[in-house]
Amino acid sequence: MRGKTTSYRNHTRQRITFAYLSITPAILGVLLFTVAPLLYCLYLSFTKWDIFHAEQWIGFGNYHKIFTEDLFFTKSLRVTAYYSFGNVLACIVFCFIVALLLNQNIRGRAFFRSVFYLPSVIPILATSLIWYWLYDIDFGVINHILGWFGIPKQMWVSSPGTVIPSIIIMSVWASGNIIVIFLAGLQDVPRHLLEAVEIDGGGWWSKLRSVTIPLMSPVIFYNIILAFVNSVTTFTQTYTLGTQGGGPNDSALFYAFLIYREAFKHMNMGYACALAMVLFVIVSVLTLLLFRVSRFWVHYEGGRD
Amino acid sequence: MATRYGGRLFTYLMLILLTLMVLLPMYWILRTSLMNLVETMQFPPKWVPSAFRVSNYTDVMDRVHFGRDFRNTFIIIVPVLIGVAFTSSIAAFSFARVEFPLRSFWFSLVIMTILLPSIITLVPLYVGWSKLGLTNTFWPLILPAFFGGGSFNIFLFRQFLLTIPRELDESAIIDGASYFMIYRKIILPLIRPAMVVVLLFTFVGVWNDFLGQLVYLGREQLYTVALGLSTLRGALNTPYNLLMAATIIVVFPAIIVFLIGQRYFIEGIATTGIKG
Repeated sequence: MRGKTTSYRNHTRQRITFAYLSITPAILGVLLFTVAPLLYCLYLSFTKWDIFHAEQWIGFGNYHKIFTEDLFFTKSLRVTAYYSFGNVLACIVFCFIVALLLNQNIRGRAFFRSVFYLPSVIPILATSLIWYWLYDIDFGVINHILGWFGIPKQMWVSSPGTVIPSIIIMSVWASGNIIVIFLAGLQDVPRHLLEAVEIDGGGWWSKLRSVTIPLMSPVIFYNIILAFVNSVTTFTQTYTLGTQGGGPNDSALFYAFLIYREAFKHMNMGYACALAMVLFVIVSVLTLLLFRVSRFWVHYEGGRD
Repeated sequence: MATRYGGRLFTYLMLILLTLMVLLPMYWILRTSLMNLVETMQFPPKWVPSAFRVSNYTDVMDRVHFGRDFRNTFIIIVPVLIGVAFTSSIAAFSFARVEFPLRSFWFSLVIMTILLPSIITLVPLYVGWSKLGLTNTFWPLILPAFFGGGSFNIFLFRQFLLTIPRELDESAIIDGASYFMIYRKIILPLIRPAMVVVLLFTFVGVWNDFLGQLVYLGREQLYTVALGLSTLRGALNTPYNLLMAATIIVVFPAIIVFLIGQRYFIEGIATTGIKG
């Protein structure tokens, strides 16, 4: 009896030791590469610093400048909000439709899946270069094909009005990850529920509306969150646009690009950190809001653990 | 029955149309990369090059140090893959199947970082690495892989592990196996599909991480393929045929890796059940 309890205790201790050892790298990672940088960023945001000289405490100076003087801040925030909203919407709708098509019992399914996934393994930098060439006003194939249908040449990435939609199209093209995640979810939609709707005389629309979408809502939500975080981080697409980056007349001045420019081109480390903190607050509030709203439309089978 | 066939026909038509749209850009770079400069500027554009100029590829190899850039990229990728494979799978194993105090607290802490856009920590991280004197080395791009290897991967492994029956571990414990033995002998072989997914995501992630490499690798000797490609773009008046040949050279390894792994990959991710 006694021997058994000791061995049980030993076992418990061994289990807890193992568990903590195994998660230590991950926890350290979070502390070193997320928590500490955030705190450090907060500190730096109250300083004026060019990295070469000692930092100088200026209190709320950076924040004051952001909200009163910096026109780029407002502009890039608008650009990023416009892009994020459009991009999340376009990616989710397009990928969901493609996943629905791919989830049927069709020939060559593996081939089609590979085709749609393929663009997302292409480096974003290469994707941008490819697409800017396709978008070229005079030599681009897109304007050429549109010409077949009598549609006049578009400016695409060379005009402030169309640059963001053009980048969204490019991003939808490269969003095979989202399709794959949707496909994974669709495989778990129980057949008998779909058949039940069919027996009741419901067509594809009622199947979609009353079974597939509600059951897929956690996956949809997950993809929305991921696409949102990705949209906010968009950088390469605008870095490669034009000679200075940022697109025509700064019409594609993404927030991420602004932070990069302040920090590494203008060497305003403190100011860049203040910009990052403002973004942190905005993203946190929006994510929280997304989670709150999700309660009304995301259904988890049998609750969550 | 008739509507069934109609639906099927519609599905195929849509898929074929979309496939053409998705493949067009890839075809277009391929065709441009094989043309002479004059042909790339012709309008209306030609769909097939009149002569296949393979020499574009050798020309561009002379202009960019792709050999060096490829080597540098692999110096980063290999250790990153090792670090991610080990640290994220073992952490996920404990989060999924080992009971310990404060488990859900630590797990939520790790998972929350998925929601943080990386651009927010870019500047303070850069400053940190620079104070350690490690900017202009590969360390800032490699070391983080050994610290959990990314919350997303931990999440993915955990989801996968939750679908494997726990009785396996329990019987091994009764037989006197240690937890590390269970991880190594039982769990690692079982999570192979998830491992393929994680390794591919990681490979593509490093191949894709333009911003990180741009910030940390200032010296040309350290350039990766992504940076090499961007210098070509930066040089004024880069001929488009050469630029596209370079793009193909850069894209090629990523596509090969994907094609090798894609069967496991797409099936793997389907069984991994990434859900909220």
